[in-house]
Parts: sequence; structure tokens; C-alpha cells
Amino acid sequence: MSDDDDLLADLARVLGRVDPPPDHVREAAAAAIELRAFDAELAELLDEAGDLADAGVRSADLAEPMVFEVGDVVVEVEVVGDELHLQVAPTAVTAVVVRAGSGSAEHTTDDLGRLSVPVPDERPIRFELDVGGRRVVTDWVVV
Amino acid sequence: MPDAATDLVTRARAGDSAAWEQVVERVRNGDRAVWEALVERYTSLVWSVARGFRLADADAGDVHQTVWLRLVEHIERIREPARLPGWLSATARNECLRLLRRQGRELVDDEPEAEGGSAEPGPEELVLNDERDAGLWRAFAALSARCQQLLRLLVLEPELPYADVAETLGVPVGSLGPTRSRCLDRLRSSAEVSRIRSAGT
Repeated sequence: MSDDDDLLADLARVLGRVDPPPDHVREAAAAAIELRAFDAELAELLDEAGDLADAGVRSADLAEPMVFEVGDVVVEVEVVGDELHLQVAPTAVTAVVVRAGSGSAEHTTDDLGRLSVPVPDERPIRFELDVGGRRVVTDWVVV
Repeated sequence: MPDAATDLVTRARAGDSAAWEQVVERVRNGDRAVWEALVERYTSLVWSVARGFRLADADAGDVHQTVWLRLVEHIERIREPARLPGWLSATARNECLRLLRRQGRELVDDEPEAEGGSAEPGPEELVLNDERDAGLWRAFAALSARCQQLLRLLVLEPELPYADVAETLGVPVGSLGPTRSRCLDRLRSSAEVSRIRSAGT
């Protein structure tokens, strides 16, 4: 066992030197706490991933939207080319802020809750919605 | 002398579950010092999971940032503070899988790198002026993705419960012991390492 421990200790030293997280990555994470959305309901990303993979669905066949959900509010997001297609339910004109990194852009869905916006340059992104006076934010995602 | 926040996170990591509860409670209350100490201590874990999926710099950075931003919003929902490291590694894994899937890529689990990629001596070896360390790095880079992921977790977070390790790797808990032995044997018996080691002693 102690041979294993020695080997793991050597490996720890090597990995620590070869591939440490870059400073800018560490600093961005430290600043992440500033983006906390107070007084908002969190629409969680439903995990389409594991389930479909377990079912033997190949990644190439997947064109499924990401689905975020809290209570009766559902946000579906599909990446189509260089655009994001959103479908918000309940369907109504809804104000949507697309936040990407340090930037954000304000949009409004049509009266059927639909919205198409360009894929932001920065990642990750999240959506901040005003749903009939309720403030809803989605999980952050990499698109 | 470490500051109070770093000390708290250090105690938590050593297995003090009351300290973990304090860490989560303080982050909930917006304690920036504790948050930064938490990021400082666990950034390597999240980064390493992303690297274990062979993500390049930009993608690994995006996954890393996603995991920490997620935690900011999920901190109210962490029910078992002591399992936060497991939450971080599992969330990192899920985001890596999502990214790979969206890029139409899949992780090849059990085949050693046959060509290109990390098996090639890369610029990272420039920082390893020690022959023996360079040999160990080459041997590690030639292991299967699963071996690399497991060994990274064992090295970085020896305290991580096996259940969390298994979840991060997406394998049954019972397979970890045998896999660990197999991966370490491969690493050790790699011709590169033996050669360098015998030459060095």
C-alpha cells in the first residue's frame, strides 16, 4: 500500500505543476458570488443528459431543448445555428434578460412566449425573467 | 498565518462537519472571505474534473465558471454541507457531459490515447525539468480517461467519499477499488516510468 501512496504523492506533485487552474479562472470563480440573484425563484435545469445517455440515445441524435423549470414556469431553450430559441410558459409577453459573463441584454418575448436571440459571445449564460411580476432566474449553462 | 476563512475551510476539508455547516451558512449570508477561501481550496477539484474529460482550456474554464455560478444560486439548497465537494465534482461532471454532447463528442472511456492529444509530450513538460516527473506525466497522460479521472480525484481529494467519486466517474462504487489498483499498476509498470526510475536510482 505504501508503494501506492508514494506513487500518488509523486503524481500529486506532477499534476499540481503541470496543469493548475489558470489564475483568471480562479479569479472569475471568486467573483461569481457577486452575481447572486436575490429574491428570485430559481428555475432549475432538468437533467436531460444522464437519462437519455442511459437509454442508449446517441449524442448526435439529440436536438432536444434545455428545459428549466420552477413551479408552473417552464423555459425551453434550443440552440439553432447561432441563435437561441426560447419558449416561455405560461405563454405571455415576458421580459427576458440574457446574462452572459459580465454583460447582459434585455429582450421581450412575443405574446406566445417566444423569443429568438443571438448566442452571446461569452459563456456561461442564464436567463432572468419577469413572469407576471415574479422574478425567475434559470440555472447557468454553457451553450 | 492563515486567515479565519481559510482556517474554517481547512477544518471543513479535514472532515469537520460542523465547519462545513458554517461554511455553507456564511456563504448563504454573503460572506465573501469564506466564499473565496472555498473557491481557492476547491478550484483544482473542479478544474481537474473538466481536464479529466479532456476539455481544452476555454471549455474547461467555462465549465469551471458554470459550476461555481451554479453553487451561488444553489447554496440555499445544499442539504448536506459536508457533501459539498461531492456536489462540486458531480456538477462539474454533468456539465462536461453536456458540453461534450452539444459538441457532438463523446468521451472514449477505456482506450488509452493512441494518437495525438495528451499522450504527446506537450508544452506542459517544459515546467517539468525533472526527468522522472516528466516520465510520470507521460505515463499518466497515456492512461485511459477513466484511470486519469480516478487518479486525479484520489490525488486531489483523498477525503472524498467513494460514493461521490463513483458518481463523478459514473461507475458503481464496487468497481472503484479494483479500478484503483489496475490504474496504479498500469501507471507504475509503464515502461517510461520504470526506465526513468531505474535510470535515476
